[in-house]
Amino acid sequence: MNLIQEALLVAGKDLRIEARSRVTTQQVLPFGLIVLLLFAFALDPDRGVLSRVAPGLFWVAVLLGTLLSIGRAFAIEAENGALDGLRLSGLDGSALFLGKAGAVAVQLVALEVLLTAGVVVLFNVGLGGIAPLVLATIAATVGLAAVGTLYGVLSAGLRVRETLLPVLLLPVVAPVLLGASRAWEAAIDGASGDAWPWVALLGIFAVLFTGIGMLVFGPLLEES
Amino acid sequence: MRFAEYVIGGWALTAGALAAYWLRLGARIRRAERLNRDA
Amino acid sequence: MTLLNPRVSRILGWAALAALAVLAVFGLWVAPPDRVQSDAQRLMYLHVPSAWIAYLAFGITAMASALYLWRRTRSPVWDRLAASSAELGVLFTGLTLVLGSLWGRPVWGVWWAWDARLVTTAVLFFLYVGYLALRRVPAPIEARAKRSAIAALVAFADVPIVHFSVDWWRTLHQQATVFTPSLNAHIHGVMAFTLWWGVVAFTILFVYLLDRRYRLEALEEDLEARELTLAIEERVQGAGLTAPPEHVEVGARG
Repeated sequence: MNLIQEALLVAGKDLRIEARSRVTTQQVLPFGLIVLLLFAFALDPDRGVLSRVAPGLFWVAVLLGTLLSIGRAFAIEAENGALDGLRLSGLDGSALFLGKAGAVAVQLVALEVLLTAGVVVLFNVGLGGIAPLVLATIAATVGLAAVGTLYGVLSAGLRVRETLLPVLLLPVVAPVLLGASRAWEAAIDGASGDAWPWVALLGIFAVLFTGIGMLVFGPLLEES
Repeated sequence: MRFAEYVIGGWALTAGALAAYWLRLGARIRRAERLNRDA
Repeated sequence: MTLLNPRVSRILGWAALAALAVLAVFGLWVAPPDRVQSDAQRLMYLHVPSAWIAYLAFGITAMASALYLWRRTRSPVWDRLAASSAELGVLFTGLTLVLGSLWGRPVWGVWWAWDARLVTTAVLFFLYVGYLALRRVPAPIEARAKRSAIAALVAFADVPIVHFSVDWWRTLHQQATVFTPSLNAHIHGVMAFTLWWGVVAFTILFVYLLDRRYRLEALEEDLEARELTLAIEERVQGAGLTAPPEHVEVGARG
């Protein structure tokens, strides 16, 4: 099997587990919506700020959801020696990385679709500049899934995983939050031209950390 | 000196932080040396 | 056991103290107050050297991590150096941020400004903290070293992206530039000398502290190895086994 086939194998496994357990649909997606609600409580809808800050809030909610998704991606490997299974499977480390990150990315996209509907409905946001919006979202999602999977395997199997992962991951993905929020703001404000540079930044981030992840996932898996 | 509170405060804090770190480092080293001897 | 010869280390310690004393004299007294910022500018003589050390320490951690990961140069020395430099990095990054706040408040009326340098320094601080948290997780020394090294390099790869994105973000918001704590590019004479002297003094201090911290790291690793050997011996004797057990948990540190 080549790299892509192996990766699809792994991603398929993770997504099939999700289809059966429905943890993302029943826990992570509602979590995202709850976060949006909490923002409304915190920022008071009557002050007129919500729609203006909605892009940032959207991406913070996605970021928090990413923490849950990554935690879940490695929690499913925690039992029955599944992690050992991966190590002994003979699958290439890069393929394992792409597969796991890919599955996370798919689930994040589901979250983002739902939260987009959420901000349109709850925060009264009018979508515009669909092309930069979608491209920014894809690039940001790939970046988040890549770095998340990298730190996920690094903290997998550690008892402190739940508290360690956020502390490791969030500072590193600060540029994603920044770029994606600014890109969304520009797209929504009708200034698509301003969004494209941010899309480029997000793309560079995604490519860089996908590359790094492919390199180090195998060695990290051996150590954890 | 104008803004003396900030200036003196900042310099004092810096001196204090560095001194505290240095002292604590010394204590940690002595402790590790002692434990190594006893082990 | 140490990076430097003990006598050199002691000399450096005294040299650092002397250099810092000179810095205090120049920074608080000899150097004139700034035309615009008045005496508040004297904090710059600490803030800038501190920031320089913060970035230097980070660079050392990254370089040592790379040297550890590369098989041909792999050695516990690099791992210990990375850990030591990181701890000092947290100290100096924290100091940089606090001093920046104290400097900004009287001059610009705010404790914080969202300018690229400050924000990047704040992110750097959290990257360090995460690295140190990772190192405190109990693990066999080699596993911890490898894991930490990778984490350090990922963080290092991230810093330029953070800096570039934040810098670009802030320059887009020209209205905020009234708060830009930009270094007055036209300082000369005594002020320039004092600033340069501050960098020198802090560097000497850093090297001295790095050597000390390295010694601590080496001692603690020795201790762990000894405790491990003891634990294995106890198990072997206690259970009447002839071979050591496969898994011995290294005790939690700190």
